[in-house]
Amino acid sequence: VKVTRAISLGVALAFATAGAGSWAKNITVEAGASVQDAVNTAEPGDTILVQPGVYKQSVYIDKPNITLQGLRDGDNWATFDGEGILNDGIIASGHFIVIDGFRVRGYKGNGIMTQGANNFQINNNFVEGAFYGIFPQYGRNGLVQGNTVTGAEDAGIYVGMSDSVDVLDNIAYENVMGLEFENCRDALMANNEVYNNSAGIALTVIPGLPVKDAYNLIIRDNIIRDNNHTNFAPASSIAASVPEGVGLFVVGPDRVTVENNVFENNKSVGVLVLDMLSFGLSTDPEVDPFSDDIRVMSNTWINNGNEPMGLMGMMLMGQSGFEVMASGKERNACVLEQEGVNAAGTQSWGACSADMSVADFATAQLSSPAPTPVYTAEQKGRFTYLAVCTGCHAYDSVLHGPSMQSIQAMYSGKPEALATYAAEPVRKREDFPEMPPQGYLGDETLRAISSYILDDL
Amino acid sequence: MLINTRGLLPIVLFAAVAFANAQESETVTTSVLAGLAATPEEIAELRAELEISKACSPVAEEEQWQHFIEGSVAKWDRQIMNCAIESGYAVAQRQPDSVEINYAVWSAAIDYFEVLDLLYDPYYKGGDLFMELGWRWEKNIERATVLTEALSKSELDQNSKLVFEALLALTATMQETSSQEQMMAQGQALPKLATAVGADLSVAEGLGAMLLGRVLFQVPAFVGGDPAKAAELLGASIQTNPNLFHSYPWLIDALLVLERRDEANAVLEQSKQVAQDAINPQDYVDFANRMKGMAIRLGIPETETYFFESREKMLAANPQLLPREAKANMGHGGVDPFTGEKLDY
Repeated sequence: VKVTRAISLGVALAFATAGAGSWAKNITVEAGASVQDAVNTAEPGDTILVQPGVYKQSVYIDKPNITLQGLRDGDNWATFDGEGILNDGIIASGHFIVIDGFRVRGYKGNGIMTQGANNFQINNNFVEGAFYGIFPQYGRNGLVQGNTVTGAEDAGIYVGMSDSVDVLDNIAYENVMGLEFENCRDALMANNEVYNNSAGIALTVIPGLPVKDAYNLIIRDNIIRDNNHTNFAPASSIAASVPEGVGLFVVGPDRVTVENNVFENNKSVGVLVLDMLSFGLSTDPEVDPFSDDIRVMSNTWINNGNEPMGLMGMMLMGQSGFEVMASGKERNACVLEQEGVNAAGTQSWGACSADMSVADFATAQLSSPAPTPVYTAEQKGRFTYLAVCTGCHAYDSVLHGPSMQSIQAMYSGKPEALATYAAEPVRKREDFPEMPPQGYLGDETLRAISSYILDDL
Repeated sequence: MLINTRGLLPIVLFAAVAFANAQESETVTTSVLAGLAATPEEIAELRAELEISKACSPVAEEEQWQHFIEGSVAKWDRQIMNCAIESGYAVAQRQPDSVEINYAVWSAAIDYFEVLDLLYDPYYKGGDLFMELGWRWEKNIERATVLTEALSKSELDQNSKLVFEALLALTATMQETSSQEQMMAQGQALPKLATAVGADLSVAEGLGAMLLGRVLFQVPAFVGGDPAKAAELLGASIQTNPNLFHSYPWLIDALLVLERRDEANAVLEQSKQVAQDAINPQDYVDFANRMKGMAIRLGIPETETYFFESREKMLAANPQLLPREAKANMGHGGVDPFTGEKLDY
C-alpha cells in the first residue's frame, strides 16, 4: 500500500508542475499542412514535430507544456512564411512552452511571441523581418538561446516585462536594435554576437506599462561590434529614435553590470547611459526616470566612438572617441579604470572595484519553475487585448485603426459580431487600413477580447 | 517688464535634445507601421481638407478683441483657442505698435504650442489627429514668429526680449521639426537665455531662469548638462514666482539626482502653494496630475491625496477641462495585465 501511494503522489506532482504525463505523444505535421490543427489536438506534454516545408500561416498555442519542434533537413527548414501579409508567426500563451528550430519570415508584427507564458524556451530559430523578431512578453523564468534574428524594425530579440530570463548564444544582425531588455528584472545576456544593427543592445524602461521598473541586468561576454546600420524603423515608431552607431545603451534600468564584452567599431560610442528625460520619453508618475547603479567593468574596447553618427554626431559637435558616455544623472554608478577608455559625462561616477565582478554569473533563471497560474478566458481576453489590439487601437483617438470608443459604440451589446469581424475583417472605411485577420486567436479568446472591450474597457 | 492679461507666462514642455525625433531613413520596410505611413500626396490632401473643415467663422472687427480674450484661455479646446488667437492676431496686425496687444496674443500663441504638444502621441506619429496637429502647428509658427518680431521692436527691456525670442525658438521646434533643426534652435536660444539670466536672475518673472534651468537639467552632461546649476536656477525661478508651476517637478527631479531628498520633499510640499485661481484651470489639473505622480515617487501619500482631490474638484467644477485620461492613467498601469490586480513585487 505504501509503495502505491508514493507512486500516485509522484504522478500527481508531475501533473501539477508541468501538466505532463507518461502519455505524452508526438504529433507530426506534414509539409504545408496546418500546424494550428495539430496544436488544437495536442494535449499538455505533447511534442508537435513540424516537417521541413513552408507553412503560410500563423499559429497560436494556448495550452501549457507543448513543444513545437521544427525539423530540418540541411537548409530545408520548417518555415513559417507570412508573405508580408500575415501579422504574427508563432504566438504562445501557455506555460512551459518550447518553440525550437523554425525559420520564420515575412510577418508584419511579431515573428515569435509569448504572452504571459512562464517557464518558456525559444531556441534555435532563425527569424527574418517582422517588427519584433522574438518577443517574449510578461513571462517569468525563460530561456532564449541559439537563435539568429535579422531585419527587425524594432528589436531582433525583445524581452519585455519579463523576469528571470537568460538570453544566450544568439546572433542578431541588421536589426534596429539587436537585443533588448525592456522593463525586465533579473536577466542575463551572455555570449551573444550582435553586429551591424543600428544599436547593438538596448536596456530600457518604457513608461506607461504594467511593469514599472527594470533592474539586476547582467550583460557579459558578448561580442558587440559594427553596430552602425542606418536606423530603418518606421518614422512613426518609437524605435526611430534609437541612436545609430551605439554598442549598448541604457535608458532607465538600475543595477546594470556590463562586463567582459568586446566593444568594437561602434562608430558613435561603446556604452551610452541616458535617462528617460534626456531620451524624450514622457513621464510616468510611478517610474523613476534615471539609470542608477550602472557598473561598467572590464571590457575589451576597440575603436569605438571615432565617427559619431546621426544625432549623436550633431550633439557631440566634433568631439569623438568616447567608449562610455553618460547623461550625468546616474546615482551610484561606476566605471572600471582601464587604459584607453575615454568617458564623457561620468564626472559623478566612481571607480568600480574588482569585487563587483559578475564574470561567473551563470544564469538568471530560477532554480525551480515559476508558478503557472491558470487564467480564465476573461483574463486571457484582457491580456490579449493589451498584447495584440493596443498595437493598432487607442482608447479615445485614432491610431492605426479606429478608436476603441467608436468600436464600443458600433458593437454595443454585440460581442459575437465584434469577434466575428476581428476573425475575418473586411475593409469598411477607406480612411482606415485593412485590419489583419485575428482568427488564429480562436473563437474563445476572440469572444473574451470582445467582451472585455465592450463591457470592461 | 510687461505682464498682463494671461496672469502667468506659459511655460512649455520642450525636449531640448530629445532623441524622440525620428532620424531620417529611406529603407523600405514591411511591418504594419511601415505600411501605414501616409504619402506626401495624402498629407497634402488631408491638409487641404482641414483648411475647410477647421476654418474659423468670421468675427466682426469690433468684436475680435473680446473674442480673443474669451477664447484664448480655452486650453481644453484647440479649435476655440485657435480661432480666438486668429481674432487677436488680426487685432495685433492692425496695431503693431501696441506692446500690450502684441504681447497678449504672442503669449496665447506660445500657450497654443503647449496645448498642441500635449495632444501629440508620444510614441506614434500618424493618423488623423497627427495630421491635424501638424496643420495647426505650422499655422501657429507663422503667427508667433510675426508677433515675436513685433515684440523685439518694442520698448520692452532687452533681457525680456531675449527670453521671449528663446522661448519661441524652443517651443516652435517641439514638434514637426527635425532633430537638426531642434538643435539649431537650441543653439540660438541658449546664449540668449544665458545672457538674459546672467544679467537678471528674475527676468520675465522667473521664466528665463526656469527655461535655462530646465535645459541644463535635461541635456546630458556630455553636452553641457549640469544638474546642480539647473537646481539652482529652478529654485530661483520659484523664488521669483511661486506660481511658476512647471518649475516644481523639474526642481524635484534635479534634487533627487543630486541626492538631496529632504529638499525635494520640501519642494513637493511647497508646490501645494501654487494658487489654483492664478493659473489656467487646464494647467492646474495637468499640474496636479504631475505632482500627484511626484508624490507617488517620493512616497508621500498625504500629498498624493491632496493633489488627487484638488484635481478631482477642479475637474468637477469645470467639466469642459480635458481629463487626459491616457496620461492620467499612465501611472495606473502597475497591475497584472491578466487580472487587473495590483502587482505585488
